[in-house]
Amino acid sequence: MDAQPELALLARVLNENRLEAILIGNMAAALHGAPVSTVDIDLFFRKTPANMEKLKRVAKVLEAVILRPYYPVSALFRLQRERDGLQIDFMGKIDGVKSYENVRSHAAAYEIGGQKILAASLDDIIRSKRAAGRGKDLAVIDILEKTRDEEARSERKENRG
Amino acid sequence: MKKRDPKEKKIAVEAAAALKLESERALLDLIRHRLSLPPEKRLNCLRRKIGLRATCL
Repeated sequence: MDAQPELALLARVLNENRLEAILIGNMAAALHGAPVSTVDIDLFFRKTPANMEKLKRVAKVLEAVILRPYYPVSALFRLQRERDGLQIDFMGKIDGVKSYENVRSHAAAYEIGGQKILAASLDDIIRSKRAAGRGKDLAVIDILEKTRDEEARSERKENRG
Repeated sequence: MKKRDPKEKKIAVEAAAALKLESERALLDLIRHRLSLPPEKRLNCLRRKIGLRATCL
Protein backbone atom coordinates (compact mmCIF):
# COMPACT_ATOMS: atom_id res chain seq x y z
CA MET A 1 0.00 0.00 0.00
CA ASP A 2 1.29 3.44 -0.90
CA ALA A 3 2.11 5.36 2.29
CA GLN A 4 2.50 8.70 0.48
CA PRO A 5 -0.98 10.09 1.38
CA GLU A 6 -0.64 9.11 5.06
CA LEU A 7 2.89 10.47 5.28
CA ALA A 8 1.95 13.74 3.54
CA LEU A 9 -0.98 14.17 5.94
CA LEU A 10 1.21 13.38 8.95
CA ALA A 11 3.92 15.83 7.80
CA ARG A 12 1.29 18.56 7.33
CA VAL A 13 -0.24 17.99 10.78
CA LEU A 14 3.20 17.90 12.45
CA ASN A 15 4.26 21.12 10.71
CA GLU A 16 0.98 22.91 11.49
CA ASN A 17 1.31 21.98 15.16
CA ARG A 18 5.06 22.71 15.21
CA LEU A 19 5.82 19.27 16.58
CA GLU A 20 9.31 18.37 15.40
CA ALA A 21 9.85 14.63 15.01
CA ILE A 22 12.22 12.53 12.93
CA LEU A 23 11.11 9.53 10.90
CA ILE A 24 13.00 6.41 11.88
CA GLY A 25 12.62 2.69 11.23
CA ASN A 26 11.55 1.05 7.99
CA MET A 27 9.45 4.00 6.76
CA ALA A 28 12.52 6.24 6.92
CA ALA A 29 14.59 3.49 5.29
CA ALA A 30 12.02 3.25 2.46
CA LEU A 31 12.34 7.02 1.88
CA HIS A 32 16.10 6.49 1.52
CA GLY A 33 15.32 3.84 -1.14
CA ALA A 34 15.53 0.60 0.84
CA PRO A 35 13.14 -2.13 -0.42
CA VAL A 36 11.56 -2.84 2.98
CA SER A 37 7.99 -2.76 4.32
CA THR A 38 6.34 -1.85 7.61
CA VAL A 39 2.99 -1.84 9.40
CA ASP A 40 3.52 1.49 11.15
CA ILE A 41 5.22 4.87 10.96
CA ASP A 42 7.91 5.37 13.61
CA LEU A 43 9.00 8.80 14.79
CA PHE A 44 11.61 9.99 17.27
CA PHE A 45 10.67 13.11 19.27
CA ARG A 46 11.69 15.09 22.33
CA LYS A 47 9.42 14.02 25.17
CA THR A 48 8.84 17.43 26.78
CA PRO A 49 5.59 18.66 28.39
CA ALA A 50 5.09 21.12 25.49
CA ASN A 51 5.57 18.38 22.90
CA MET A 52 3.15 16.09 24.76
CA GLU A 53 0.49 18.80 24.42
CA LYS A 54 1.27 19.10 20.71
CA LEU A 55 1.07 15.31 20.38
CA LYS A 56 -2.46 15.38 21.83
CA ARG A 57 -3.44 18.00 19.21
CA VAL A 58 -1.88 15.92 16.42
CA ALA A 59 -3.85 12.85 17.59
CA LYS A 60 -7.07 14.88 17.62
CA VAL A 61 -6.57 16.17 14.05
CA LEU A 62 -5.75 12.64 12.83
CA GLU A 63 -8.82 11.26 14.68
CA ALA A 64 -6.54 8.84 16.51
CA VAL A 65 -6.24 7.78 20.13
CA ILE A 66 -2.97 7.75 22.08
CA LEU A 67 -2.05 4.37 23.56
CA ARG A 68 0.86 3.51 25.87
CA PRO A 69 1.96 -0.03 24.96
CA TYR A 70 4.72 -1.38 27.17
CA TYR A 71 8.09 -1.52 25.44
CA PRO A 72 11.22 -1.33 27.55
CA VAL A 73 13.40 1.79 27.04
CA SER A 74 11.44 3.40 24.16
CA ALA A 75 8.99 5.77 26.02
CA LEU A 76 6.48 4.90 23.34
CA PHE A 77 3.26 6.76 22.54
CA ARG A 78 1.17 5.02 19.87
CA LEU A 79 -1.37 6.95 17.81
CA GLN A 80 -3.94 4.51 16.54
CA ARG A 81 -6.81 5.27 14.18
CA GLU A 82 -9.47 2.61 14.36
CA ARG A 83 -11.26 3.26 11.06
CA ASP A 84 -8.27 2.23 8.87
CA GLY A 85 -5.77 0.76 11.36
CA LEU A 86 -3.27 3.60 10.85
CA GLN A 87 -0.54 3.28 13.49
CA ILE A 88 2.02 5.96 14.24
CA ASP A 89 4.58 5.39 17.01
CA PHE A 90 6.22 8.38 18.69
CA MET A 91 9.30 7.38 20.66
CA GLY A 92 11.09 9.49 23.23
CA LYS A 93 14.03 7.08 23.37
CA ILE A 94 15.62 4.91 20.70
CA ASP A 95 17.93 1.96 21.27
CA GLY A 96 21.49 2.44 20.07
CA VAL A 97 21.40 6.18 19.32
CA LYS A 98 22.86 8.89 21.56
CA SER A 99 20.33 11.71 21.57
CA TYR A 100 17.62 13.44 19.54
CA GLU A 101 20.07 16.21 18.61
CA ASN A 102 22.59 13.67 17.40
CA VAL A 103 20.04 11.91 15.16
CA ARG A 104 18.76 15.29 13.94
CA SER A 105 22.25 16.42 12.94
CA HIS A 106 22.55 13.46 10.52
CA ALA A 107 18.91 13.45 9.35
CA ALA A 108 17.87 14.14 5.75
CA ALA A 109 15.00 16.47 4.86
CA TYR A 110 12.46 15.20 2.32
CA GLU A 111 9.45 16.88 0.78
CA ILE A 112 6.31 14.75 0.72
CA GLY A 113 3.12 16.26 -0.70
CA GLY A 114 4.69 19.72 -0.42
CA GLN A 115 5.47 19.22 3.29
CA LYS A 116 8.95 18.94 4.78
CA ILE A 117 9.72 15.87 6.89
CA LEU A 118 12.98 14.71 8.46
CA ALA A 119 14.20 11.12 8.10
CA ALA A 120 16.99 9.65 10.21
CA SER A 121 20.16 8.64 8.35
CA LEU A 122 20.54 5.00 7.34
CA ASP A 123 23.52 4.75 9.72
CA ASP A 124 21.29 5.75 12.67
CA ILE A 125 18.50 3.39 11.53
CA ILE A 126 21.00 0.52 11.28
CA ARG A 127 22.43 1.35 14.73
CA SER A 128 18.94 1.38 16.30
CA LYS A 129 17.95 -1.89 14.66
CA ARG A 130 21.19 -3.57 15.69
CA ALA A 131 20.70 -2.39 19.29
CA ALA A 132 17.03 -3.49 19.36
CA GLY A 133 18.24 -6.95 18.31
CA ARG A 134 14.83 -8.40 17.45
CA GLY A 135 14.73 -10.95 14.64
CA LYS A 136 12.71 -8.69 12.34
CA ASP A 137 15.21 -5.84 12.89
CA LEU A 138 18.32 -7.95 12.31
CA ALA A 139 16.75 -9.46 9.17
CA VAL A 140 16.79 -6.15 7.27
CA ILE A 141 20.23 -4.87 8.31
CA ASP A 142 21.94 -6.37 5.24
CA ILE A 143 19.40 -4.63 2.95
CA LEU A 144 19.87 -1.32 4.78
CA GLU A 145 23.67 -1.55 4.57
CA LYS A 146 23.52 -2.25 0.83
CA THR A 147 21.12 0.69 0.37
CA ARG A 148 23.44 2.98 2.39
CA ASP A 149 26.39 1.99 0.20
CA GLU A 150 24.39 2.50 -3.01
CA GLU A 151 23.07 5.86 -1.76
CA ALA A 152 26.63 7.01 -1.03
CA ARG A 153 27.79 5.73 -4.43
CA SER A 154 25.01 7.59 -6.29
CA GLU A 155 25.72 10.80 -4.30
CA ARG A 156 29.41 10.58 -5.26
CA LYS A 157 28.38 10.07 -8.88
CA GLU A 158 26.06 13.11 -8.76
CA ASN A 159 28.79 15.27 -7.23
CA ARG A 160 31.25 14.24 -9.95
CA GLY A 161 28.74 14.77 -12.77
CA MET B 1 21.50 -44.35 4.49
CA LYS B 2 22.84 -43.90 0.97
CA LYS B 3 26.00 -41.84 0.78
CA ARG B 4 25.78 -38.80 -1.50
CA ASP B 5 27.84 -38.83 -4.68
CA PRO B 6 30.67 -36.22 -4.26
CA LYS B 7 29.97 -34.95 -7.80
CA GLU B 8 26.31 -34.35 -6.92
CA LYS B 9 27.35 -32.57 -3.72
CA LYS B 10 29.73 -30.30 -5.65
CA ILE B 11 26.97 -29.40 -8.13
CA ALA B 12 24.58 -28.60 -5.28
CA VAL B 13 27.16 -26.34 -3.60
CA GLU B 14 27.87 -24.53 -6.88
CA ALA B 15 24.13 -24.13 -7.55
CA ALA B 16 23.59 -22.66 -4.07
CA ALA B 17 26.49 -20.21 -4.57
CA ALA B 18 25.12 -19.14 -7.98
CA LEU B 19 21.65 -18.66 -6.51
CA LYS B 20 23.06 -16.50 -3.70
CA LEU B 21 24.99 -14.37 -6.19
CA GLU B 22 21.90 -13.97 -8.37
CA SER B 23 19.69 -12.96 -5.46
CA GLU B 24 22.27 -10.38 -4.30
CA ARG B 25 22.39 -8.97 -7.84
CA ALA B 26 18.56 -8.79 -7.92
CA LEU B 27 18.56 -6.95 -4.56
CA LEU B 28 21.11 -4.41 -5.85
CA ASP B 29 19.01 -3.88 -9.00
CA LEU B 30 15.95 -3.26 -6.83
CA ILE B 31 17.82 -0.75 -4.63
CA ARG B 32 19.20 1.08 -7.69
CA HIS B 33 15.71 1.21 -9.19
CA ARG B 34 14.29 2.65 -5.92
CA LEU B 35 17.08 5.23 -5.74
CA SER B 36 16.31 6.33 -9.30
CA LEU B 37 12.74 7.22 -8.23
CA PRO B 38 11.81 10.50 -6.51
CA PRO B 39 11.34 9.97 -2.72
CA GLU B 40 7.53 10.24 -2.96
CA LYS B 41 7.47 7.24 -5.29
CA ARG B 42 9.51 5.04 -2.93
CA LEU B 43 6.72 4.68 -0.40
CA ASN B 44 4.84 1.56 -1.46
CA CYS B 45 5.92 0.02 1.83
CA LEU B 46 2.95 0.18 4.20
CA ARG B 47 1.47 -3.20 5.11
CA ARG B 48 -2.18 -3.17 6.06
CA LYS B 49 -3.28 -5.39 8.94
CA ILE B 50 -5.77 -8.09 8.04
CA GLY B 51 -7.55 -9.81 10.88
CA LEU B 52 -5.54 -10.51 13.98
CA ARG B 53 -2.07 -11.40 12.72
CA ALA B 54 -1.85 -11.22 8.92
CA THR B 55 -0.68 -8.20 6.88
CA CYS B 56 -0.51 -7.33 3.19
CA LEU B 57 1.09 -4.59 1.12
